[in-house]
Amino acid sequence: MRRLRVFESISVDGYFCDAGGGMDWAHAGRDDAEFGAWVGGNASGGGELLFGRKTYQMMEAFWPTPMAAQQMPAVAKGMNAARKYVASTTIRPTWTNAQLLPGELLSAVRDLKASDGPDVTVLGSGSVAAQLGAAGLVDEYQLVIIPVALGGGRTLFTAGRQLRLIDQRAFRCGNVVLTYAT
Amino acid sequence: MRLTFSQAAFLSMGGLVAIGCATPLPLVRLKPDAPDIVWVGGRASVQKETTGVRVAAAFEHQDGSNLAVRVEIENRTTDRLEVSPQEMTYSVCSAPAAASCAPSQRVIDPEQILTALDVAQSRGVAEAANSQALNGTLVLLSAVGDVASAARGRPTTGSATLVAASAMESDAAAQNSAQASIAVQQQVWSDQALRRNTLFPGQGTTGLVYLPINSKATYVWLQITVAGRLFPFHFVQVLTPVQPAWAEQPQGASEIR
Repeated sequence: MRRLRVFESISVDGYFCDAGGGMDWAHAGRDDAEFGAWVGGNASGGGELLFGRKTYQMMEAFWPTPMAAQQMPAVAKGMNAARKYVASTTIRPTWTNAQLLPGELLSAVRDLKASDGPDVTVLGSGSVAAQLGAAGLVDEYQLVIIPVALGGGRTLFTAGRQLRLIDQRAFRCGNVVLTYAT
Repeated sequence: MRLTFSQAAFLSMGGLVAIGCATPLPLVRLKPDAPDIVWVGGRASVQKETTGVRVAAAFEHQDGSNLAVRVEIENRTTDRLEVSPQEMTYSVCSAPAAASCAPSQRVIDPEQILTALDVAQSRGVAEAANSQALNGTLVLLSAVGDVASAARGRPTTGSATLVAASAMESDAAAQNSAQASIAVQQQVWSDQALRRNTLFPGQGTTGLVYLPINSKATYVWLQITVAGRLFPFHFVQVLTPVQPAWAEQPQGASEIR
């Protein structure tokens, strides 16, 4: 049985996007060599990825490009090589190793989890993550808490849920990474 | 706690925003450091001529982590000339004195980029090549010397220059490669970049020359060599910090998911 992980940046008041749907705030904060080194120099491995349409399109527009290969070659290589599933009824993925999830989201993810293969990570894709969480399909949340209060927006959690903290790390810039098991 | 590639990718996304807690890249512009600037379609251009070869250069736009400089070259000699990005170098400097300059490096070679795109998408892209050489409108030079007329065999008009300048604006708007798909990148590097061309007498070519941004530089030299003739262009680099959009307009940020 594959595990499904959600990796998401959220505000301190728990929103993955603001009331206007934006998330530029997720990049706010001071320059922090510690966080930058953690993000840029510590990546390895991967598993498979699951995206909603909007996050997928954002990723597809950057990681296959020469600019990505120039700026973050190891990450770009990993992203391009990874198998990617896309939850969408309106686009046809063209990125290498990307494919649409067949049929309805929840049943498709149940089938995916029941199949053989590596663990699957939902990157961003807040609306998809919220649906999967509400259906009890998420095994782990990795949340990057950005020190910004939005006062409103959209939340990952549409129903109450008890979580168990299994890892944590705080950065000088105020970002805190928390890992919870469900 | 280690990140996977994908988690690092997600955290470093945001288009031109640097990793994690970083602020957006600054706007970078190049201003000619020369007394004889000619403005063409909003661009500050400088032209130089040596023994029958005319070269003009003007900063065009910032393309992610690169700067695009429009270069036009006209062959007024009686010989055929070879023009190649491999004969173009740049040097970044921290002060006007040459001693402050880093060693010259070649500008970005469009052929290498196209090869990388080719590999990335496992399909050919290189056929679109060099026909632009004879068709490109020499906007910078035509504004001051009817060069397009010589190159294309018909009179140059002011309106043609304006139309061409407008088209250049459209091209620039379309060239935000950081946000573009591979297909768009291929088109940009194939059609917009200055590539190797043979110029017969009376002909000219135009295209964009790309050099990586060095945010610590205060001056940039672009050295263009054509048939052994050296055309150095000196620019002042101007950086304008960009505040994160959320800090200025929390409700105006673009939706990404």
